[in-house]
Amino acid sequence: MSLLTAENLSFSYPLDEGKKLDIFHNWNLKVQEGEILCLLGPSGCGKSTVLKLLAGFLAPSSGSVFYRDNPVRAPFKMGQMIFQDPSQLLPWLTVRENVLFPNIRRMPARRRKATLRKEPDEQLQQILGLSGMEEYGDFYPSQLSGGMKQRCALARSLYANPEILFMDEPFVSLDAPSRNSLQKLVLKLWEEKKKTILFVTHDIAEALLLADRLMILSTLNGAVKIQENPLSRPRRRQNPDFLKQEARLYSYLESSEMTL
Amino acid sequence: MKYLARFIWGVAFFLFWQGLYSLQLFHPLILPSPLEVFEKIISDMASGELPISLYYSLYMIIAALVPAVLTAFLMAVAGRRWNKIDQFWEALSALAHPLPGIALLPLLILWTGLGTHIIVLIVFHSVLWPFYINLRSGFRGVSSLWLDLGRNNELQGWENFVYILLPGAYPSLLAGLKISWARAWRAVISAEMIFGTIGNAGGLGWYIFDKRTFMDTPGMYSGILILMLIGILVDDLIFRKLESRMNLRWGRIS
Repeated sequence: MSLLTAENLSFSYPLDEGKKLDIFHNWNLKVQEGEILCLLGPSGCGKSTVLKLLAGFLAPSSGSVFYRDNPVRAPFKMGQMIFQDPSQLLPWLTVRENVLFPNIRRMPARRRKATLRKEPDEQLQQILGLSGMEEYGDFYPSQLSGGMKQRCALARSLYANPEILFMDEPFVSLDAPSRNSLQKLVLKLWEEKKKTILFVTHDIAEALLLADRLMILSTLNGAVKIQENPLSRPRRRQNPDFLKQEARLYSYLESSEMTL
Repeated sequence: MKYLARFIWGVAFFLFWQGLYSLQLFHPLILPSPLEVFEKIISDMASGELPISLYYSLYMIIAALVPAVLTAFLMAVAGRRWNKIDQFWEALSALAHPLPGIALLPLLILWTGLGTHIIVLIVFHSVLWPFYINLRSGFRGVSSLWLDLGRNNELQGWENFVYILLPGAYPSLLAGLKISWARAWRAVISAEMIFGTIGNAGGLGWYIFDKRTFMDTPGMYSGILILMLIGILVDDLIFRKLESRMNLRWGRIS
């Protein structure tokens, strides 16, 4: 049984005068438990739309998505979305409170503050430590850098204890060094926590570094190609094989672009 | 430091006033000395006239502000839920917001008769619209990312409201409250000036108006000074504290 299944999925954006922009048509996907699947493609090819459909944030025009054989009709807690925009953190809460947000319901309002202070939450400490945020627990999001904000968003989604992480170009707005360290963090989390990760990116190197399988969306309404990542872990960007694969993927994307 | 600077400017103002008085450029009935005004404040405080007026005005404001804020909340929440209702409130507030409350006075008397409820209604009108408009724009300003976070974690409608919508709209809510407080004072003072004789007690507006009748200039000045003092106190003790706490959290420069 696969963790997440898409069956005959179609989606189109409504345009003016009753016209529709087809993003894709009768499309199938099986996501295996514990894999990292990267959705790779140029900006505007619809890869974020695919992710939002799979996570339940958008409803398909036809077809359906199943999570462990349950139809997905709305966003679900077991599939945590991490957005591109660092403003996804709640500015009125500290880092610690932001991370605790997925379980806000379990804390009665009167006791919430007391709970935060007195009882050390082991899961919280562990997650803050893993994501390199333990010293920033009392900071407000406005006091953090872009990279730190995304670390915090990652920590928050982990606190919900999800099975799937949906990551929508989470590191695109970061500088190269923070981007590298966050990619390493994702790999570390994946190895320790064995989550299934769906990762949207337009960065070929990023996809090659992270993915078990690559889903390549080349053009609007174009063919979707799924392939195994031939590189073995641990991967290094400077490795000749890595560079060869990167060049190959680049030329594939470029050639498919010509059909537009 | 801030308070020291303010104190120095305050003292400078009163020295300037005293200087003007000593030059005798104006008739003492037009411009009494600040000392006279202070004496008047102290004697009217002691006689109970000022405290009662103050209490009465504050009572009118609270009696109108609380229901107005609650009504605005209900309106904004209903408007979020049903688009048609939002359009209706939008049209209604565009019509009613620019209308000074005092302009409604004759009509309100015609419709509801005489009584202190007239003042409450005028203040209610003056507070409802600005607060509603701020609240609505606050709700609309809540980032869709935050609402998506609520959806992702399967929050219920009321949980979304309490944990995301309300704190997300807090800056606008606070601004709205500040505007409402100022509008409420304006409305209550003007309504009392016109209306105060008929009610069983006058407020600060009536206090000032009544002093005019007897050409008690120091009394008029003391009413105005008390109004200023309340404005400063409420701003310092409530709004400024809330604002600086919010600015710290939201990373804004205060």
